[in-house]
Order: sequence, then C-alpha cells, then structure tokens
Amino acid sequence: MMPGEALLTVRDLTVNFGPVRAVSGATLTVSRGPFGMAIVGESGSGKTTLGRAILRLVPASGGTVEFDGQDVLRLRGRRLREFRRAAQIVFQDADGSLDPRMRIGPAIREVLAAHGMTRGGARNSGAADRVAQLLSEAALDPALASRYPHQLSGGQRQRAAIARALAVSPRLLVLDEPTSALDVTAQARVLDTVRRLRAERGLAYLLITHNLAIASSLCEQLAVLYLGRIVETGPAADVLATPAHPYTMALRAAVPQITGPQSTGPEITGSQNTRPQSTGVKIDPAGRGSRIILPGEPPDAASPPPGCPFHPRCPLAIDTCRVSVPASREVAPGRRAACHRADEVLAGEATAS
Amino acid sequence: MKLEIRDLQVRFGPRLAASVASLDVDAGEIVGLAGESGAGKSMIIQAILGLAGTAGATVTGSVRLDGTELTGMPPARLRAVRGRRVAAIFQSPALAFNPVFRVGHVMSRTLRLHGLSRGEARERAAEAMRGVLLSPDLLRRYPAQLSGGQLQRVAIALALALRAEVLLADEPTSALDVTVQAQVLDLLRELRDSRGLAIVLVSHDLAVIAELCDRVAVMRAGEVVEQGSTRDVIAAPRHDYTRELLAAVPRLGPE
Repeated sequence: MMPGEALLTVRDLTVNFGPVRAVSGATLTVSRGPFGMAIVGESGSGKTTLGRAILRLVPASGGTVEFDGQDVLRLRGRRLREFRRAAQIVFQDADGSLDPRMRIGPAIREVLAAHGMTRGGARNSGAADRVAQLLSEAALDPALASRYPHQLSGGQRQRAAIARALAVSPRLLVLDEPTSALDVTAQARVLDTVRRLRAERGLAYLLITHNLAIASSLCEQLAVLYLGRIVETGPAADVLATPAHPYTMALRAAVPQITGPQSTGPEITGSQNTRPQSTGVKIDPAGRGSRIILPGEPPDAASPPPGCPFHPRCPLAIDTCRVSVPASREVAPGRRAACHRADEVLAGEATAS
Repeated sequence: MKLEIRDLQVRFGPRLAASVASLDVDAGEIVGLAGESGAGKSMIIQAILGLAGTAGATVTGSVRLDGTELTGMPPARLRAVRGRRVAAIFQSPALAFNPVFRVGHVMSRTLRLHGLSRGEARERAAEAMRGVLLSPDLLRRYPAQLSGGQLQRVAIALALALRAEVLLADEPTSALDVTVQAQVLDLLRELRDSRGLAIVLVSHDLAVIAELCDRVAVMRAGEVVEQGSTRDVIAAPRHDYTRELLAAVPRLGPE
C-alpha cells in the first residue's frame, strides 16, 4: 500500500460508561506512517478513553474502527492478538507499565516472548541484542537494561516504555500524554526520540495531549476533543494558524510561550532596567490581559449542558448555541468544525455578543 | 525588601545540595526559580520555610523577612511565621489536604491554630475563597470532589486567609492542564497586583516564568548559573544551560 493511505479509520465511535457518554461519535483517520495525529483536549475530555477504545482496551458502545482493512471491534482470537501487537500504547505514567521489581531488559524481553518473537525463550542472547538495539533506538544507554525502573529518571523511564512498545514493531503507537509528568527538558528529549523514530521506522501514531504546542510540533493532523466530541479537525498548521472553533483558540492561547527569535550571540546585557528590544524578543506580547482565559472547567460529562457543550465557557456564545448542538461540518478543504459560528471564527471576524 | 536571601546553603553531610548567593523578593513582585528536577529549587523553598532541617539537611546563610532573620529562629517563633506570613503551595495540592476532611475543615483548623476564633475563621475562609474566584460552597467538599485546579486555588485561598505576605509557589501548575494552568497563573498575577503579595515561583518551564516573573534565577545542579531580569535573561541568555531550557519550551507551530 502507498503512504498517505489510511491505516486507521474511526467512524462515529461512541463509548458509554453506564449513563455517561465519554466519547460521542468520534470520526478520524490516521494515515500510514510516517504520520502523526494528535488528540487534544483537557482532562475529562475523553481523549484517553478514545485512544483506549481504538485499541479495544475499553469497550466501544457504537461506531467502527478499521485498522488495515479489518474491523477491529469484531476481531477475535489470533487476529485480535495480531492487532494487539500491531497497535501499541505508551501511558503517561511509565511506572504503570514497568514492573518496579523487574529490570528494564527482562521487561522488554517479556514482551518479545509474549508475542513469540524470541527463539528459545526470553533468555537467549539474540533477545539481549534486540533489547540493546531497542534501548539505543530510544536514545538510552543499553547498559540501562540491568537497572530497575526506580534507578532511571522520569524521562529515561518514559523512553524505556517507548522502547518496550516498539519491541514488537507496531505500526500504530498510541502515546497517551507521554510527557505530562516530565520537566520541559526531559520532555524535549522524549519528543525528539519520537520524532526520530517516526522518521527511522515510518511510525504512525496517535498523540494524546492537552498541550497544543506539543501536538503541533509532532503531528500533521489535529483532532480537538471537548466533552467527548471532536469539535475541530484539520491539518495542524492550518488549525493552529486559523482555528475554526473558539475552544481551539482558547487552547492555543493557554500555552505559555516565549515568542520572537532567540538571541544566540554573547550579547552583553546592561543593568536590569535595560530592555534589549533590539533582539526582537517579546515576553508574552499579547499579555494575559488580552488573552482568552477560559473560565471554569469542562462540565460534568454525566450532565452535559443543553445546546453546544462548550457554550457555558465560550466567549462567543450566542442564543443558538444555548439550545442547539452544532453538527461537525466542513469549514475549509480538509477541515471540519462543530461550531455555529465556525465561519466567522475561521475568518477572524467573530466577536463576543 | 520583603524577603532577602543571602548566602543560603543547604547541605546533606559534606554535599552541597543547593545554594543561592543573593535573591530579593519585594512586595508586589514575582521572582522565578527555574531549572530541572534535582536542580535544588525545592530545597531552597524548604530552606526558606525552615523545613530543610527536618529532611536532615544543614542550612547556613540568611533568610530575612522584613529585616527579621528567619534562619536559626527558635521553632516556636518560626511556626508563627511559617504558614502565616510565609505560605507555600506545591505541585500536588492534594497532599496539602487530608482526604478524610472537608477542605473547609482543614482551612478553619489552620486558621484557628493561628489564633482566629471559629466565627472569624469561617468568615475569613469564605472571603478567601471569593478571592480565588471560587464559591465558598466548595468548602463543604472533600478534596477528591474538587478538580486539581480547584484544589490548587483552595490552597492559595488558605494562604490568603492567613493574610500571607510571601507566597512560595513550588511548581504550582505542573500537574494541571494548560487551560487551568493559565487560570492559576492569572490568579497569581492578580494577587501580586491587588494584594502586593511577594511571590517566589518555582518552575521547570521558562515560558511559565517568562509570563509571570519580573526577575529569575536559573538553577542547575544546586547552583544559580544565571540571574537577572526575566527580559534580559530570556532575550540574551548568558549561560548555555539557560539556552537549553529555552530551547526545550514547546513552540506553537510546526518546527
């Protein structure tokens, strides 16, 4: 098959937990790798549930998931095991996926053995070579194979978890908030590793994050999730440049940024009062004052508000929004948004009423 | 100067864990401490609070609050300062609240420990909740019934209720969503301006520091490698490590 073709197609996927609708009619497509699709949203938006439902780690209540032409939700037996191998997940908390009593090497060999990928059991030397290779691929010293998880830093643990997920050569990787528990420096190293693996292995991944900057730096497509619904999708660069949904605008505004070019020269700075304007660096040029700061938090999925689920927090809400749920529609080629005022928002003409 | 730190050194045995030669925080000012995990930022916060000793560290140097020396102060007197005049919030607000008590109970008890009557405590707590833009009704909730962002606000409300003059904020938004982080940062800025709070903000994220702090000290491996006005440090970092921290901030837009 050709690159660019769909590897994963999710249509109208719905997940209910009892009476609570956690994911509501999610539709998205992941191309064959190298390709990144980001699912962006706040805590409680359903992004983790969506990722897990795609992998059949939580049962879907409706819709379809097609992976490589197969209906994932109906897979059983050998085919389901093959799917589990082809689609791997890395969790936010590496401690949750690495047994604290198991050294890193055996933890990776265990996966190889479970999928019948080692000859002569998990102890043979071929497996040890494979582990060393996987660790170096994840930018880790192969010597770390003999360490326990607690002897590694948070960033190293997360890269070990990635190495473990890659052990079975998956074609799809779900990265669920892989760096939220890390420092920005450790985060940058993990993101670099993902970027490199993507190029070297032609990996396709679903990146789940609440940070639009991380999403846009690693993914060509974005899906923005709010209260279980995908409210905007499209090419990352376009969505970021001209959001069509006010929630996407708010997510963009929330990312703390250092804007302007960085001065790299050994410039001598004067007293603390000098403002080196010449470098063109501005600190938060918009200022918080002119930013959209979303009030409150997402509503409870157990009792969603009437109308558009975002309207109670939306600075652009009009009467229609309080009574009618906006359908997802195409707002530009390759872009969809679920907002009554999407056209105005996209054109940058929407103002608060 | 509200808070003056001079030659503050925290040692574990012979090992120097963290040191700050000179750092001042005035009323109505936010000063940042930036650096990775393990850089010693939190150790400095603990030392300012007079808590580093309980972790087995030896603290030398000087921490002055309105000119009064805090290091070496007898524990009984220090307890009246810590919590009351110098308050602290941490990355995980859940750890600041006993899960089996309603947050209002924790707040009232703390206020009463600092000498308020039951009625005053109740009034002060409600007023402080409004100060952090939360409904006083939430005081009846248990910690698990509040979101991380709400709980962090309640922790800040507790500092306000005590009429704290200095707030030490150790990674207060690292566990929060970006949207909720923006709210909490905005609240800190508002409290600086409206109440003249002196704030020390610890963060590994220079973008967070850049948004809020007038001045910054960048720490690595226990030492301050660079400090100055945030503008200067970010526009023209003099230390490679500062550049590394700057480069690590995720940028909006394709790379």
